[in-house]
Amino acid sequence: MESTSTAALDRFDRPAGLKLATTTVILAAAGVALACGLLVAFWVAPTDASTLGFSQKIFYFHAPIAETALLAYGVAFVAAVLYLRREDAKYDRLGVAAVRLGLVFSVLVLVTGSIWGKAAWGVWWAWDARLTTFLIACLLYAGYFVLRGTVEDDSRRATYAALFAIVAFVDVPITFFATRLLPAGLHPVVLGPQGSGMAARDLVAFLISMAGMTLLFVGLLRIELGIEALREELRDLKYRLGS
Amino acid sequence: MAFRQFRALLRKDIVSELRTREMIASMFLFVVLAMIIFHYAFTVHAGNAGSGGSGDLSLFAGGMLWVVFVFGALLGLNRSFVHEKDEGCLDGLLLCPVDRVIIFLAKMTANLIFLGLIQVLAVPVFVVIFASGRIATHLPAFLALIVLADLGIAALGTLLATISMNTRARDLLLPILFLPLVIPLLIAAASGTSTVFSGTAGGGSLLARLAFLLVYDGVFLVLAYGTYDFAIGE
Amino acid sequence: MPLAEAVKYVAAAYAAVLVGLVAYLVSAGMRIARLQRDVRLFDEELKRRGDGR
Repeated sequence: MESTSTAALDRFDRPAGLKLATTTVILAAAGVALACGLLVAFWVAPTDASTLGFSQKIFYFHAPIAETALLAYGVAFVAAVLYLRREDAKYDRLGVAAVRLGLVFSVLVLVTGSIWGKAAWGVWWAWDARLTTFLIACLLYAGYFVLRGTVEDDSRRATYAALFAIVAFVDVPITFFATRLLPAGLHPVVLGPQGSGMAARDLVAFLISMAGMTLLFVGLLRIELGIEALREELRDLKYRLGS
Repeated sequence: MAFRQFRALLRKDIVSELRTREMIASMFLFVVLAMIIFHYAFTVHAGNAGSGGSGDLSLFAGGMLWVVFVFGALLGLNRSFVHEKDEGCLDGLLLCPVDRVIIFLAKMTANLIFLGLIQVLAVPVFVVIFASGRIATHLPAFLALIVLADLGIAALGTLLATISMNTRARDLLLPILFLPLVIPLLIAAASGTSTVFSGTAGGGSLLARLAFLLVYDGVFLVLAYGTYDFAIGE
Repeated sequence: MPLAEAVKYVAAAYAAVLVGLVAYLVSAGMRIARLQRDVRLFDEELKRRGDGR
């Protein structure tokens, strides 16, 4: 059972023959999906009837990016658990690649969220539960890279990074619920269109964007894995030159 | 057997601390100094000038209390493994036929005791200075809040201190890893303490915070239990 | 909020995503180029030493 459930994960580390072509196809598909999502979002989906108005259009990239960032952290979590179980360096590479992309996407969430906040609430930053959670996640996973930089030994670095990726991933929902403990604050309770339920055409645009964003993540993850493999190769060459 | 090992390890930590008392003394001094700094940092507001610089900070007291303790705990956590590592005690410990989890539990309990000791001294002072002694209404809940928050700080802190002592950066790394993870705990503890100090809000919201802290402690204790073998190294 | 102003914010948000992604891709490309160059250099050095022995 375990072998089938992780088979998809195991396949990522194949030698770099077909890889570049497949990656290009995936990234192209992502581009097409994202463009279609935008088309539906701007020309088909109705303009939001609530106070959000046209600024609600930011949602169609903002939310998929946010969910992709969480997906990236989830992948890093699974890779971390697998690394601790099997001590195979490829899971460490998958972990770094996923966390790096998670950070990139999280920063984009903060930037688009901040712009949307200015448009919808009139302030660049509100201590909204979701935005705050992403801010703290950014700081956490930045710490992940600091941690990696301070350990010399390869297997020990991988072990500690995996440990921290597990702890950090568990902390993300806890942070979200903690910010919910506090009163909602001053800004209006408009947290996004989910609360009022999405119209069918909105949902289609959102789902297409979501699929595009996920494809983009997969494509970029393959690039990052290629970079990590190169780095490994370089380390190996250095080692052989030194001996 | 396991309990005897635990007791022996805990005794070792307490005895060696009592020999010098450097950790407790420096943590306590830090906490008192931080209180004084908070007082002057926050009463400079013009609105407080009329009251002779002794403005009412009770609104912020809950937050200040836990900022002081989180940073004070950080001071102690950084020290808790330094001797073990530098004097080679850790290598000896790892050679002993002791379950790694017992090492963790002993270390965590020691950190918990030191933190508690500081609070026994500092909380009354704090309440007198900043909260004008208004805690009588929710005293049991307040004590439960402190115990639960301390447990979370000690569990998470001990796990992360173990990781960071094995790295090159050591005491530089611990705050960077520890502080973002402790934010949820700080939110719950600080807002809970504020309700206690203001003495107004109903017990319901306080209960929610206590429950949250309980979950937080449980999650990180389980995580530490499951991963400590990897953290302490071979 | 008037439509004309909302358009600005929406455009800014999508531009920010685009700029972010492009910046990321450029940095990834630079990392790849540097690593590939280093790998090639080390590889040549290794071969040269192998011939010398």
